[in-house]
Amino acid sequence: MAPFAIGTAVFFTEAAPQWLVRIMQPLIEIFTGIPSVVVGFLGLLVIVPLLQKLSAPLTGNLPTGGYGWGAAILVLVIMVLPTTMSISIDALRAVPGSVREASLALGSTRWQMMSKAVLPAAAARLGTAVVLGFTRAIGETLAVALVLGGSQIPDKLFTLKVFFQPNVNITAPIASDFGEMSGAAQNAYWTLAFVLLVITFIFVSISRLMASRSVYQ
Amino acid sequence: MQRARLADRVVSVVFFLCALLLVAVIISVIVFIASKAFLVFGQGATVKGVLFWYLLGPHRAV
Repeated sequence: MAPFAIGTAVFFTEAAPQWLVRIMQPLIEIFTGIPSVVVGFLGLLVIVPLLQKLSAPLTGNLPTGGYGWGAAILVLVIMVLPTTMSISIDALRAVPGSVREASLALGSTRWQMMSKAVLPAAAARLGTAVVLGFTRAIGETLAVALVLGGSQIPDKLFTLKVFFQPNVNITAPIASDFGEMSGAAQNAYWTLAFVLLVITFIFVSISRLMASRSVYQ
Repeated sequence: MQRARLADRVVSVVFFLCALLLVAVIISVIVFIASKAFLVFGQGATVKGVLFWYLLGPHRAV
């Protein structure tokens, strides 16, 4: 996902004609703002039936064959891609023009200028874009829960089949069951919430660390 | 001139209070969740149990 997002961002900032950028950039920004439930619904109606057909030889044509990690991955890619792309475009635009000019003046081709000068100069911010996208994916509840379609982890986690079996994400039971629980069960949900908090904290820290190493502050 | 200085001071105090409130809220939320998160381990649960069995696992107890 990250190479595709960054590659597209490079195309938009370095190679695309202005008219195309003028059309595509607002579209990407609109895509970033689409509510996750809409993407989840799209996944439920389009991706799940498609994966159900594709995974039929593996799952034995089970009606629940399309649900699972496979569909969740695709839904998250759709959700996170515009975010990462949009931040990557901003990161590449923040690279001073003098870097490009200096690279071209030294005899670089356009591709060499992009790969050896612009991308390394924006590396820290591009890393931040990827981490922020990842953080959004981790915190996502509804869209993922819709296409995971289950309420518990499958018996065997380390098989290819698990990608096409109903599964559960951490946030879904917190959203659906937390209010009905009490005592130890409710405390266990607090533990899950804390795990999510720690994961987000780790990724935000990585993002801050990457940003602090930027050549162009 | 004096009025502008006074406004400057009032604004900085108000913004400082806003920042203080925000920091207090963030720290309280983290402390609150953390304090609740570890209670379950005093009630006989294990990390593996909570993450893979107790709530989300195929034979979940809840």
